[in-house]
Amino acid sequence: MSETVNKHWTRDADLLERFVLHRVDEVERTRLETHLMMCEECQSAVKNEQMLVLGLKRAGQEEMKARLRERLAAAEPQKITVHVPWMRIASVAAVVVILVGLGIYNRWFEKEQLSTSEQLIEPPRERDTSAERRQIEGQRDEARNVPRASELQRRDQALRQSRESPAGEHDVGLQRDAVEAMKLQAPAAAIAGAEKEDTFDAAEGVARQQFWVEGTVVTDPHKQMAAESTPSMVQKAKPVSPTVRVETQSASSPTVTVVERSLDQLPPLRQQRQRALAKQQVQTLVEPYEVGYRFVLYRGSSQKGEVEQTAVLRKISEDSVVVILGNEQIGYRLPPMLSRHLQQRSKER
Amino acid sequence: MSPSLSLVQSDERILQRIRDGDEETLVLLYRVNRRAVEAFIGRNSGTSDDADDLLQEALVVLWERVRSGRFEQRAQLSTFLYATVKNLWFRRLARKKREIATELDPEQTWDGQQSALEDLVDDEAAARVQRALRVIGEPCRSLLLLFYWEERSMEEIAAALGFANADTAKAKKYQCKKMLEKLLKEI
Repeated sequence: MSETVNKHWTRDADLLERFVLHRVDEVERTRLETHLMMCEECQSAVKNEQMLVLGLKRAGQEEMKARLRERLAAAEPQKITVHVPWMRIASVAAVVVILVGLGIYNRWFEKEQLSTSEQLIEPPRERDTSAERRQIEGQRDEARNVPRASELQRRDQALRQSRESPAGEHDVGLQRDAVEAMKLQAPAAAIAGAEKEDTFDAAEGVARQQFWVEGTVVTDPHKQMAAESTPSMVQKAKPVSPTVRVETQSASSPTVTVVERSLDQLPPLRQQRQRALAKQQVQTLVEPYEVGYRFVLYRGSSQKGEVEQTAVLRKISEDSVVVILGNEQIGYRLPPMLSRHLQQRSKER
Repeated sequence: MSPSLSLVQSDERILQRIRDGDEETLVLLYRVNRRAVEAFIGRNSGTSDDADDLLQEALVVLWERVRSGRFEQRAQLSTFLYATVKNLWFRRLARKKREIATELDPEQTWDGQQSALEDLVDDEAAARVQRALRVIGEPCRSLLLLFYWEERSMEEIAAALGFANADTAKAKKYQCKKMLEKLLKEI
């Protein structure tokens, strides 16, 4: 090896390269450097090799830098076009906001229309048939033609005048009043009456239908006065007209029994509805049975037990009836199904 | 790939991509570290262009070290890049300072480092090599860069450039180096 050193080791191209690239061990490096300090030719050879390697490294770095700059320049425009789709996001958001706004407005407008016509309509129950639902829709359309307040006042006045009319016409007048009053308030009652409930009568062992209707009560003032007056007042009071009579059950009319229950016994939804209605309106559950109808009136808060009374049912029109119960006449507009039921019964009789 | 994705990539994954020769990884690292480097250079009287240039240089250093197997990971990659930028910038500032101070005596050294004249000689020599490399053509150019810059082994070079084996690559490298030396004498 010392021979190699003396013969200018830098002439060994491989050794020179390994020395410059720091690929010789420490012992060999020390030996080579010892010769290098004394040999100018070798110093020159090492310097040239170092310049070559340095130049190649710099060239590599510069090329790499140039390629990186190209990549960065190419990547910049993509950043703007690909990663910021604000316009698309904004347009989608605008469409969503408009659709939601329209939906809210439609719902509000629908409610507003119903409230102005003083309607309180429960959504049709799931078990209603589609035919019934169509009937409800038709009745709802009618309901929107409710008379104005002035019309109601006018008719109330007429009602009061008719009550002051001669006694002979009193009974007929009362019925007419009941029907008229019922007609004014009929839409809600008609709609409410469209609700049908099917229950199972354990006693009869058959499925039985029930109908919710809302009646309008008209009280006979003369009988009312007689009932409420003290004996001394009765003497002073106008005698009860002989034409005001207690109706009896005729052979052609169906048997009607009336049961009164307190308002507390109404289902919660019905109670809520009752609160929204006028005082003279009464929630009634009609149960047809084999020979007639049972009217369950929910009113007052008396705790007295259920007493079944017989009443008279008078048909006024195709879908209107009046139930005469003592000094009261209660007008009902019947839902289509109940009207048909009543007609069928009448034919059978 | 967006910069944000690099945050979920581990340093090890990034280093592996560099080892595999994926240059796109440098673009990603550039985007992630650009703001911090610009802030540092801005605080030390540099410009935005200085920041760009230094970060690119630091990324090349990282590439060079990882590819040659000389990279030892002692901290996060972003820390390595930040530290490299810092060193490069201070060295550049020192060089400017030397250039001003050695106007009277170009051979005077500054704090035991190379003189300004030596720096210029080196730069000139490097520029000559680059010119020669542009002339030498392929595969010599790639072979010499892979061996001297990226410090790849002969086996790797043979595989990368399609030589039969390491010995063939070594023989070819010898020829290419001789050609380059000849060109340097002519330039």
